Amino acid sequence: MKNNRIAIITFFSGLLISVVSFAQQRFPRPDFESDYVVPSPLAPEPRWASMEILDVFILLIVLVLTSWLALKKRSRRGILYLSIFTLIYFGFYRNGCICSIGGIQNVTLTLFNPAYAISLTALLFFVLPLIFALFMGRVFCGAACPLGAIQELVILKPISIPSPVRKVLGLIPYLYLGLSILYAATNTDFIICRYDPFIGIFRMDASFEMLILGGSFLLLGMFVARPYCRFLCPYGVLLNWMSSVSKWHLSITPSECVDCKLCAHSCPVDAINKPVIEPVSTKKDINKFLLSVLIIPILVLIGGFIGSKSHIYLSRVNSTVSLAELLIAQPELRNDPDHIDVQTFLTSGKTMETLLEEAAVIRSQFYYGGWILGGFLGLAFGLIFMGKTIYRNRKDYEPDKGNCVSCGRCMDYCPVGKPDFDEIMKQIK
Amino acid sequence: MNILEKQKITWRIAVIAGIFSAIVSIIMILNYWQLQRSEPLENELLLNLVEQLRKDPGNEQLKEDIRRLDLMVRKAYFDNQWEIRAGAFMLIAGVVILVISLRMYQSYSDKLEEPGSEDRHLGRELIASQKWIMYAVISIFGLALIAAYLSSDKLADPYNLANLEDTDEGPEIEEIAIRTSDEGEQVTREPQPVEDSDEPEPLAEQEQEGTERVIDESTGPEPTTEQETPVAESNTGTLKYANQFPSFRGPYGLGLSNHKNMPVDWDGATGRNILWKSEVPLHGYNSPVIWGDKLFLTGADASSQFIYCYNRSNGEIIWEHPVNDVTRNTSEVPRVTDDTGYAAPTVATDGVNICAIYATGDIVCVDMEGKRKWARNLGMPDNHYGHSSSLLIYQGILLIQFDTNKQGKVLGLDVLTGETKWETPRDSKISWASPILANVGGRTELILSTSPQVAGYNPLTGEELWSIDCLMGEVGPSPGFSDGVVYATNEYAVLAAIKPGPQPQIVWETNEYLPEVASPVVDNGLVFIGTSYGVIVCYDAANGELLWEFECDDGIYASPMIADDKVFFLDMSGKMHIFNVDRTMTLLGEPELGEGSVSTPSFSDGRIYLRGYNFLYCIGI
Repeated sequence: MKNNRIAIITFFSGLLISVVSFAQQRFPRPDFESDYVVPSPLAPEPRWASMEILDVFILLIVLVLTSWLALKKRSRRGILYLSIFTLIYFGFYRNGCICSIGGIQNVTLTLFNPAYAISLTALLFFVLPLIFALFMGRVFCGAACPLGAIQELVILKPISIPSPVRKVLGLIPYLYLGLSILYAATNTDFIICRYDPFIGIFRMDASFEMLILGGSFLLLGMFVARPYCRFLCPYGVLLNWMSSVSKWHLSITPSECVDCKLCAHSCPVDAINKPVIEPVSTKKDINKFLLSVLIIPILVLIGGFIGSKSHIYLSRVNSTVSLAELLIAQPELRNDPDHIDVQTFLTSGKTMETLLEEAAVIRSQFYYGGWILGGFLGLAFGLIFMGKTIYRNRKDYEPDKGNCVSCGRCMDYCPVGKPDFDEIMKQIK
Repeated sequence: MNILEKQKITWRIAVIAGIFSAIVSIIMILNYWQLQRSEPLENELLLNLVEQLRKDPGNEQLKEDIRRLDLMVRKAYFDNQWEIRAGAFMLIAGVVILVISLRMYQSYSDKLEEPGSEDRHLGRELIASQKWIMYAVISIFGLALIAAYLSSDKLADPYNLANLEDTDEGPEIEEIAIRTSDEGEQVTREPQPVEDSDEPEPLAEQEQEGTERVIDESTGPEPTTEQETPVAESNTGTLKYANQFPSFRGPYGLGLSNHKNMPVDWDGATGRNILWKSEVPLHGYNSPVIWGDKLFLTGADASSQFIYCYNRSNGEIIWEHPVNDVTRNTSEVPRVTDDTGYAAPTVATDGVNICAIYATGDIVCVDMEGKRKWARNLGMPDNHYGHSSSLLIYQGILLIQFDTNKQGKVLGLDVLTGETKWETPRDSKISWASPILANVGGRTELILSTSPQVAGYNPLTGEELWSIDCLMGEVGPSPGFSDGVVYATNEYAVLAAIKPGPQPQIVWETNEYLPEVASPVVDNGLVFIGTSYGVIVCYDAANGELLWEFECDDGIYASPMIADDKVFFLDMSGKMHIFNVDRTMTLLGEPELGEGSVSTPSFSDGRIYLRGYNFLYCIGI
């Protein structure tokens, strides 16, 4: 508890001492007669390449340290301090960019757009957490992600969400991941960055709407731990896959579980699997499993079909498509001198025919992208459904490898290995 | 202090911090909405005062009031911004205290977890999860499918595309309706035969001579017998034509006038050297055109269009001709901006006919007595500011530069009947420039500026003779011409000296000072430019060297004119800046009109005719 207090104080102090840089309103300069010479605007220099390498180095160090703290040292306090550092460095100092979550889009764009080349830094930020998740679990979420850190620090009284609700909400990140890849692949938008609820807080320049969104997430996060991580984060989907098969992963108890159940409610993200003793699978269960396997290709096809049918409204996010449709629906807008998009198009020298051709090409990309998106969602949903038909016997309380964010809270609750363990055992008895 | 007391204290702190944060949040939201709504420079009171000042520019008290109010609204705006910034810090502090106190309160209330019995049979939970997942997947896919079937593909909808084609092509030009203005009924008139020659005659002697501009010192009005000549084209290209002020920027649109003895001193406020001042009934930014003792203007608003004929000697309106009955294929009124309006193009006359065009695409021709000869609609110009290209008449052909967002084209109409004699599509963007006529290598060429090209045409056939790409952006300035060289320019582009011909060449170009609206004027080896930010510049016409510059208090939209060996620059406040046409700057005077203006001055008979925003002025000694 003391740790939490320190963490909260540190977090908000960091928030207070951060340099506030509010976006300046567009405002015409007063027309005064003076000798003042308006300076020419200067483009900021790019960040030093060495500083980018430093960022990667720091990420690597944080990942290594978190792994050590979670797996060897078993120190919740250490993980907490690291997450405070991450929040200050990657969040407030580096303004939430560069970011592994947004890296999904950079990688996608590199694959689909030959004119775009991902930087090595962005690639490493995308790959390193996945490699660590493959071996050590989601240590990135535990202390290396600024978005996770800010949510971690505001957890006040987390409530447990019923499993069915959790599973349903857990489908959203798949949808978000699919859409972010589709929009990045079609060069439409980086929606993960655009709708990042915390970036405006890190940069202290959030628009009113994004401030409300970020504030709402933090407010909700007091009672529903890490709502963004659990029910939105698209990168969490990839980390979940990697972590599910991780070779090593933090364990609640350092040795044999004494079945004290103290850790049962310790996890704020409901990622502790309880011991289960199920009867041997019946024929009915096997049939159910086989049925779920058969459903998967059907879901893929249905998803792909619906995705392809959805390409019209999905493509409207693209500025070229939306402008073409706007000018078709309201051709009189070409006479509107205040419509910036239309006027920009008119002065670009492009003809309406060119615009329509470009829009048609993009829409066609969305048609095929819609097939892939729908198919991917059908596959993901089918696999999740199939997973729910498999009973696994479990003797001890264990972290759910895929969903555990390696915050280390549960380790603190486990009495095994603690100096006063015997006394606690007596209390339990 | 025991735990209960600590609990109580932390709870109270949390409540106070919560209320404080809520109040700050509400105030910040209200402040934010207020800030969103307020545009300091669009304060209604301020705008009213500025409008008053426009009518009474000499009122010092009004100026002081405006300065005070301007400062006040700016201060209020920035104060508001500061309040939001300070509020953000207060909110953060409040939330920090709230969270810490809540955490402390909770820690004092924490009880040791009591291990209870756990349900170790998860079958029911899994079944419930399966059901919920199934429902969720069906819902997601179902909603997506419904949304897909509710979305219409506008890009592939043949109906929409057909509409678009209609829009792109523009409305068909209506059948020519020839009306008599008095009776209002349609009368079909046989077009009067005009001698067609594909090779245009060179312009009046002055143009052939090139550098020798002045050919006739006569400054008096032409005899009226000539105005009754039934064949219109007989006047253009003649000495008489060159001595009138028959179109925008004078004869052939070159910005030069033959007339002498122009005044350099007047004062609109006191009336010094103002011979008369007459109110123009309807607004318009077009410039006065003069033939003989008559002066012509147009005015228009969204519902009416007029041609006005003034008596040049006393400022009385002799006749006015309404142009509200032209059949159009749309009932829509074009959207125009305030700084262009519905009547920006200047009329053109050949001494027999007066032709006018408006932002609606209505084009009309009347005789010198204001009787309608014909009228038609060219289709509403797709122009986001409003059509502003002025007209020219040459050899019985009315020349129209019609560059719109849909299509660029140049037209030649029979001035007697309104029939299209030729129409040449142009691979050009929209422009607001006006055509000029110039004597290039012994033949008369119609020269047009737009983005990206400057091009020459045969004014009798519309054949494109040459073209060169050198401009960009929204071209407002018309080209200048002197000594066989075309001078084309636009803001954010270049000022280019072009040697026209089958292989046109850019002789030199510069981009130091460029005009946004005002056209360049060239004479005596000098190019004069007036910028919208108030700098007057003189370049060497031979090599583009900057010879001198002069800074005005206000920007310049009116095109400069050269007359009486002086160059006249009218800034938007109504102050005229008069210089010698010389390589060194000699300011001859800065008389003020007492009213803002963006119209180009006209010269005739030792008098200057200026159109302000509201009044028409005759200046002379």
